[in-house]
Amino acid sequence: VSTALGDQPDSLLPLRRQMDEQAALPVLLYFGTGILWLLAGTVLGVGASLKFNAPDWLGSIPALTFGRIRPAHLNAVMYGWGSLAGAGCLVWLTSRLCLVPVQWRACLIASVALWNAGMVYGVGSILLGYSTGVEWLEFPLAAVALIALAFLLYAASILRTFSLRKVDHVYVSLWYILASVVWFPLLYVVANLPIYSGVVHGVVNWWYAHNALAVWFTPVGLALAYYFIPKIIGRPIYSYYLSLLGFWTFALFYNWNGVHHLVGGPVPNWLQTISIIASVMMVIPVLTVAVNHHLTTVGNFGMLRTSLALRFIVFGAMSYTAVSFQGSMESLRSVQETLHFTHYTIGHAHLGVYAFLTMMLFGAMYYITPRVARWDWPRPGWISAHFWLTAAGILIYVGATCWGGFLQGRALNNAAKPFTDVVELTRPYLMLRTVSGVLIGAGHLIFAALFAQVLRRMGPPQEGIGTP
Amino acid sequence: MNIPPAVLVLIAVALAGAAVALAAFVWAVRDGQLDPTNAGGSVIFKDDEEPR
Repeated sequence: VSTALGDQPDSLLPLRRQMDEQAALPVLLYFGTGILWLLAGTVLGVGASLKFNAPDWLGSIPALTFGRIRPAHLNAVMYGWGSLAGAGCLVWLTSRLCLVPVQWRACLIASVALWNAGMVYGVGSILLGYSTGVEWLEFPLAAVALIALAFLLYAASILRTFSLRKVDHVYVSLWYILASVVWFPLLYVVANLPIYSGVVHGVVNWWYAHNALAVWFTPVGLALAYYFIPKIIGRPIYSYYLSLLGFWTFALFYNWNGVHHLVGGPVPNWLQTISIIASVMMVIPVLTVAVNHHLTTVGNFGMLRTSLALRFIVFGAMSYTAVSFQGSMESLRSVQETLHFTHYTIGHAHLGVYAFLTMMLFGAMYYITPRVARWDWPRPGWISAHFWLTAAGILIYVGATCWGGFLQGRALNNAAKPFTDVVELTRPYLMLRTVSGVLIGAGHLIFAALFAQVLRRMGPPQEGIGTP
Repeated sequence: MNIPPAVLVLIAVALAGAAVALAAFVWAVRDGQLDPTNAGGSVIFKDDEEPR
């Protein structure tokens, strides 16, 4: 294709096509299996939510009791969906940012196989009653070993591609990717060592759980946001220099946050205070991200109508700002007095890993999949339906659990109020949560169907995106 | 003071993780990666294609 600018814009077409071809198999395997875990995790999540409305439902089958399907939901969506889909996105993004085709593809394919084997073993163990009982670390050691190995193989491929880079400047997204591939395996292995007990175990537990967000899930989301917002809009990040300050302050402050989950617990006070201070310091990196993404997008909000990928990504970026400020506030002792151990925390968690991370992953996958599969989405109307179902669903979810949780916390602090009254008070909000879960689940079915249609090359014959 | 051995493991790991970050930061400064310019923001357009 010749353009008014001559052949310059298309001079990289052969390289771009080679990069996408090399990335296709591992990326589609990560995406496809990630989507299967999304569907499984959604069923488990809606099931766990329904049990609040109908406590006796499926209560006689041990594998389907609340104590098993809730952790199975968490592990399926975090280590299955979020991690597999995230890894697939970052494999593709690393190649694009280094201008080098994906290296060591065999490692990535082995990584997908081991990862999924570990997931089946781990989630199966939880449902059969062999959970460790430690939140976020429920998997038995054999499942942990499989997933750790899978992550190391993925990290090896990313680092190899990076080492051959043809671009001198390390883009801010790449900093987040590199930090995650170095730090997450270290964190995952150390937290799973069977050497902790007592209070130390509790501290390690929440050091891990919050850092799983700090050094894995948040870097995935931010790496994607920093690439796709300017890329799709077509102009660079508003203040690129500020984004680098954001990365290094993020790296400095975020890893201290974990103990804010144990405020008021039997943990040394100084440890809790340090964690609260670090949680508030997170305002600095979060502001750099929020200011940058907003000022890059401002004036181009009309593009949200035309680019469906951007619509998901901007929704995710806005949610990142919201969830981060909410988290900083929530760490304060005075706020926890009301909100700790209420449904508010669940609302906060879903604002983070759904409204931010999952919506970001949807947007990135809508952009990446047609390029690696060489086939465009057959039904754009379905993508729009997917957006509105999940966006409305998660807003209802977060609104219901946060408001209901706030009222619940106020009522719990009132010693004159009988406990059963507090339980009664939360019922309508928990019903709303189940309804929102069904809306979100319907969105996921549409997404899974669309993905299958691209793999099966449905719709009119076409050459795929980025081909002349 | 009686420090559990597991805590010593954690301290060693934390220092190792921080050392990696410090080494990366020193490299980045020396390599000019953190020079006060916004030029780096344009590298995402090196593989440019039609926006959509």
